[in-house]
Formats: sequence, structure tokens, C-alpha cells
Amino acid sequence: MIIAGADIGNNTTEIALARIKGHKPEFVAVGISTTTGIKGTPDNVVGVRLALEDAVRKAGISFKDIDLIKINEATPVIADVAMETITETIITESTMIGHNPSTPGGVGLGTGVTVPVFNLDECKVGEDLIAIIPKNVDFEDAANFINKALKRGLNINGAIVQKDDGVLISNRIVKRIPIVDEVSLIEKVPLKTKAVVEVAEPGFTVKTLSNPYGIATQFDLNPDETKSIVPIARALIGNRSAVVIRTPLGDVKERKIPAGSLLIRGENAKGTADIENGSDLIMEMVERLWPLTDVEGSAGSNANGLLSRVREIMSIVTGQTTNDIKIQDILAVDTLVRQKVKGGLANEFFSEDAVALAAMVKSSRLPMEKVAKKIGDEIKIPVQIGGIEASMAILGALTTPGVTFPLAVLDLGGGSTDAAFINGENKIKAVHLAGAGEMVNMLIAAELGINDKSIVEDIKRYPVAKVESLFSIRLEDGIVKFYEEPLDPKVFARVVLLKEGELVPLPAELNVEKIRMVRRKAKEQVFVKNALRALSRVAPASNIRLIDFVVLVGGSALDFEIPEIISDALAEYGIVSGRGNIRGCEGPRNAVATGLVLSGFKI
Amino acid sequence: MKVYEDIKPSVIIYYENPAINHAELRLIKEGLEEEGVPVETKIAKDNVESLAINAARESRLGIGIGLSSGGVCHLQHRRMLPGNPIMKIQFGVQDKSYYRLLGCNAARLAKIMPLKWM
Repeated sequence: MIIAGADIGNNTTEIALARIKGHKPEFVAVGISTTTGIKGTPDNVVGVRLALEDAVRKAGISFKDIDLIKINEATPVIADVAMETITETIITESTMIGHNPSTPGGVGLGTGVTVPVFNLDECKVGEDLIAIIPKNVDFEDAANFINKALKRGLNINGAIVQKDDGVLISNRIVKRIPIVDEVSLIEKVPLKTKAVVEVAEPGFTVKTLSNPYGIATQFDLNPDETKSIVPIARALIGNRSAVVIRTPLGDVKERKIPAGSLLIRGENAKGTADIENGSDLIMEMVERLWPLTDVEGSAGSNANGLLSRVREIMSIVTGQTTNDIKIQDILAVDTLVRQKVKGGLANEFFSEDAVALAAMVKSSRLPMEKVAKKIGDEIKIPVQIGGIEASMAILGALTTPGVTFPLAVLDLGGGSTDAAFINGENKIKAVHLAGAGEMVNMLIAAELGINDKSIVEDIKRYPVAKVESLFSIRLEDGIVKFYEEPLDPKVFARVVLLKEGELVPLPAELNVEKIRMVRRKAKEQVFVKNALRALSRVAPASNIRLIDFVVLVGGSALDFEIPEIISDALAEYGIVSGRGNIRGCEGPRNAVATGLVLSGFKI
Repeated sequence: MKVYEDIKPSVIIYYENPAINHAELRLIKEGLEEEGVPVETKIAKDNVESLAINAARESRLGIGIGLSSGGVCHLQHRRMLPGNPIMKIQFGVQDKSYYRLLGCNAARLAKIMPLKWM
């Protein structure tokens, strides 16, 4: 007799095939496929068939050899993520240039009135000027214009250049002035307006223009005006070169978006938490009010927009009306979003504060009977609905060598983080929390400013390295790796991902340290937080320290560092934790499918 | 004779014909100047592959540029194969800014900075 355990998950459908010999299952093969359609809907049949085909091929048997398929009673949990920025920087009447051309010219600080380089002839002797050099002026001509004007007694104190000509011009003029180049939108620089140009020595960053009082000194600002230019100073911190231009009407605003508050309803009490005060307070309140019955956002606020987006998606998935969707858990995380400054002249970015939110709803029981019937009809093999997902995961996890009762299983998925605990008396307690792999992706995408979802997924899954020569790379942990063949010049000196032996170049403005930091922080913020929340909910007497063994399973447990990050955090509580190894050979995959096969047999 | 340590580190350009190559040579040198990397030039007769790789082998930075009288230009690194340059400009290229870009990339190669591509 051959039994197949089929686990239909949010992202993948997994199969475990076993031959039953004298009341003992003997596993012969596993199969995997992406889940087709939404978990718990008849669309899943295609995925089940594909995964079965995979397993059957590996086992060298045929479909009709299978006597029984056991499918899981899917936990009706659906999670989703959303994010809202709570600050926004707007520059009206362009007033700053804060980018990092690799080779600005000259050095120092220069103040003057902006004038096109070809109009220098018309300026009066003694005037303080900043030359504007658009791309149709050759650098030699520009240098000649400036030299001629300097000879005539004009004070040219700096220059703004559109092309990458800063050093060339600097080398050809008689006075050493700061020159900022590669200003793509130079036509937007207002003329006859006071501007300050600053270029720092190599290895240093601008001092005056990154300091609000420095800007105030240059432009003679009063205290109120000084307050309003703080965002400019902040945006220029860390740059080697910068320009600040103050038009009479110009202004920079840091707008606070009214983020609103969350109304959190618990079973016994309710409370409100302001989003502006950050995620810690929100999560504290969630802890205090647990278990939750619903979460709402204050009317007309961004918080409300955020939650209604989640509700809408849920209602499409579950077929319930948005009013019936009750949010059972949220995970809030503070983050920074890299956003283009509105009104910048050289594609400047600014980090805005934001709150990311994952929400989880329990829909009414998913109709697995329908799925079972459809599988039975289409694949023509008897189907039986096995036990609860959490129990099956524990049964499967127990096949990991070196674990025993009492045991907790952490299922790190894409949408939700689930935990189950089995005590000495075979009693099982399970919990489902919002926030998992997809939230990590959202945080990485926001902080690094990357829109391409597949790049974000790769950043999450693969380590970074820097190509240091045509033949070697330095990995993020400092190890240098040499190649026999020269690397593609297109990846030279770039930051790359080590994706299955291939080097995938990343956007040039990112560096190895930043990527590594953002990636690890995102994983910690979601998975460490949720591991602790989940385990304390299922632990005896809500005390994590009473758990001895934690087995990590699920797709995110395959990650190259998430299990280590979690183990590190749990070690503080004296817990043995690690990536599961189902049946000693499957790694963290196939736990539920294996559990389904095993259920009903004495182990 | 100069000892190796006395040779100034610079990118070396071998070019065929001072009369014909004048304009392209100027553009390549501008690219290097903007990036702040020293450059030396020498007239030599050979095919472009050999010009480039010999220049690279001569350079203490290991980076050389070969420029033929026809305007074909190779950017080379000492450790690359002669026929496999880092960047090349074909015969009859209309957009002269490629030469400056090649000079710029030679410098970026020396500074270990990402190369620029059109």
C-alpha cells in the first residue's frame, strides 16, 4: 500500500510518498510544486497533481500505484502587508543640489549670484558670482570664459556644471574654486539668485551646507527660516559636494502626514495607539490586549487607508465582505523609505519615516472538503482529510534527529509565522501571527529603494560581495575568492549577489555594508520578534524558558541566515533551536506532508 | 635603465599615427584627466590587439590602451587575453564621446570603481 501526504501551503504544495510495510511507513520520495490558486480553493488541484507527478517520477512508480492521498486541514489564515510613510520632504522652487558626483572639481566653499558662463562679460567688476555651465558649453571654452572674467576682476567663487567636466575645468582655470558637476537638471537652476557651492577635500564630507547654522550664516536667515531649511541640511549630510540655492519664494517643507491611530480591540478591552509614536507602542498594546478581535484605523487617516487595503485584499481572497474581515493580529515595524526628493535637481533621495504593518485574518474555515473531492474526482485516487496543520507539523518535525517532547515548532512561512507546542501529555497548542517572509521583502525594498520584486527576493536570499579586481571578489564576511577566468567587466567594482555561482550586479549606489545591514535588520525585526511572540503564546505558563526544543520549518527556514538569527536570539532563553531536518534528510521542508503520512501510525 | 620601482604608475596609451589619431587621443586623455589618473603616451606600430596588451604590460597599473590609425581602440588589462579587451571601439564609430568614455573607464579600472557604459 502506498500513501501520499499532500501539504497545500500558501506558496508551495509538498508531497511525501510512503510505502506501508507491516504497519510501518517507509518513505520513498518527495515532490514539490508551487501552489496554484489561493490555498484552500479547488484551484489547488493543479499544484497537487504537479507535485504528485514530481514525487511519482522520483519514486519510479505510477499514479495508479497510490492508494490514498491525505491532505491537510489548512489553517484558515491569510496575512498581508502594507506600508505608509509618515513624513514627506517637498522642495518648492528648487533650492538644493545634493548628489555625489564621483569627481567634483576644486575644493572649498563659494558664494555668489548664479549667472550663465557665457554671460560673464555682462557682469560688473567686483560682483560675487557662481558660473552655470550647461552641457552645450565645451569645458575648454568654459575655462576660457572664467579665466577672462577673473582677469577682469570678477569674483567667480564657484561653478555648477551639467556634464562630468568638473576636474577638467578646475585644471584649466587660474583660481581654485569649488565645482559641482553632473547636475542633470541644470536648466532648473534659477539665475540671478544667491547660491552657495561647497566641495569637500577627498575623504571628507561637506561641513557648512550640512549644518543648519552654516546655511543660516551664508544666507543670513532668521530663526524661523533656519527651522525651515533643516531638511536640506539633513539631506546633504554625508555628501562630498553640495549646492544650496535660495530663491525668494523658495521653500523646503518637511510635511508631517497625519498618520492617525490604530484602534485595537481585544477580547476584554480596547485601546488606541498613535502610529506616529512608532511601532513599539503599537506592539506593546497588542501584547496587552491579546487575543485581538479586530483592528481599525482612525477615520480619514493613513492608518485607515493601510488597514482598508489589507481588508480589501482579504475580502477578495476569502469571498467575505470587508466588514466581516476581522483582523486577528498585526505586526508593526518602524522603517525608513528611500524616496526621491520632490524638487531636487540631481535625483536626490531622502529617507522618510514609515511604518510597515502586517495583518492577519482568520477567515471562516477553508472549504478543504471541496478541494478533497475535486482531487479525488480528477486524479481518481481516494482522498482523506488528515489532521490539523499544526499537529501534522509537529509529527513531521519530531522526525528530526535529536529532538524529543516537549517540543515547539516554528513554521516560518511567506505570509505568517506559526508556532505549535506539544507537551508531555500530547496536548498541542498552536498560534498564527502576522508577518513573515513577505514583510521582510517589503522592508528591504523600502529601505534600499528598489522596486524590482525579483531583485528584492534575491537580496533576501543571497549574500552580497564586492568585485575587487577582474579576477577576485570580496564576500560580505571579508573572505576573498579568486577566479581562474576574468570576470565580466560589467560587474567590475560593482556590488553583486552570489546567486548560485552567478554574479548579479546591483544598483551602483548601494554598498555591501548597507545591504547586509538592511537585510539582517529586516529579518530580525520580523522573525525574531515573531518567534518570541509566537513561542511565548504557546509556551507552558506563557514562559518561553520552559521550552527546551524549537524546530524551525517552512520556506523561510531554508534561508541562509534566518535560522541562525533566530537561534542566536533564543539561546538567551536556554532553548535549543535550529533548522529542522525532517526524517534526517529533507531539511526544513516536507514537515506537514510527512506528518500526514505518519498520522495514524504508532511511531 | 629605470628600475621597476622608478616607473611612475600610469595608464599607458600606444597609438599609431600622431597626425590622424590626434582628436581621439585628446578625448581619451580628457576622460583620464577628469578621473584624475596619470597617463603616458607612446607612438608604436602594430595591430590594435598588440598595441593595447603591450601598453598594459608596460604600465605599472597594468592598464593599457591601443589606438590604431583607423580609430579602432582597445582598453586592456595586463592579465586579460590579447583578443579579449575590457572595452573596444570599432572602426567608424560616429559618436566621438566613446573615446572619452574609454579613457574614463581606464581610469576607473585603476581606481577600482564601476565602469560606465553607454
